[in-house]
Amino acid sequence: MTREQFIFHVRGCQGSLRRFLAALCGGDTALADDIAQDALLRAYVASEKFAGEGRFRSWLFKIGYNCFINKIKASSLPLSPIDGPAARNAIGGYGADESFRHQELYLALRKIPEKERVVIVLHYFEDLSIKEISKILEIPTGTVKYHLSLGRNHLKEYISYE
Amino acid sequence: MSEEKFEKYLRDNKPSEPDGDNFLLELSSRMSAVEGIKETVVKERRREKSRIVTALIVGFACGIGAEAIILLAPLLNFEIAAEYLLSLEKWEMPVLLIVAGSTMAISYLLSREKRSRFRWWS
Repeated sequence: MTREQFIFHVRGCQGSLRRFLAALCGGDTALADDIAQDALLRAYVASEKFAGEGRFRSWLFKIGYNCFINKIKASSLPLSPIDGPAARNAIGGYGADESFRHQELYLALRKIPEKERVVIVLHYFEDLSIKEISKILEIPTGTVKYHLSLGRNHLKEYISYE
Repeated sequence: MSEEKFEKYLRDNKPSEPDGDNFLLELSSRMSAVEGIKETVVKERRREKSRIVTALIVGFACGIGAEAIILLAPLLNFEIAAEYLLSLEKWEMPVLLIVAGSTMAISYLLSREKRSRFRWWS
């Protein structure tokens, strides 16, 4: 894949990758963008290995998720508090109601386990199928459904959606 | 009902995708830096390959030379060389130490060069 082809593909899906990572980082878009840059550079270096099997977007999500795991878990980096800079990043550019809902959603997402969070975000925010999620996370579809169900139940406790 | 409503709430309230102009600009400059590193790595690998091939050829040539001398020894007059070798025998230990010391020094310098990418001979 040439540089131009790579940029062309990235232009189409960088937004969803960053939104996915922002949700994983609990709304800290600065941290999410850092991870996204790292993930895209890794993808660019490995772009010769991308055989075109499956979607480019799913492949990027997989790399992005691995980068997130490396950054957050390996360095045991704590997520910055939502009422700090992360909150300002998270709510920037939206209306007050929307910002409040996003902030509430991000806060709730921070409270649930990481596996449930990633499954919820990929399924409901990025509209990926259970099969695609199982490929990205390399877990069986049954486990994806299990995490999805658990995640929904946990989220309900923290969100006022009625 | 509650489950469907909650799923709808999540889908309806997903954050919108962030604007990508600045992000792509930053990515592009990082990609250029990565390309520079990639080029350096490829050049270094090519250089290492050529060094290995050269060492192989030199070793092969030396081997052929040594073999030729051994096989042709009965036909050649080695009297002068034999005199030199006999005189060298007195200095066997110092010569051995110099050769061993030089080999260790070269090995050390080569390993340092590989780590720091510093060409000590240039």
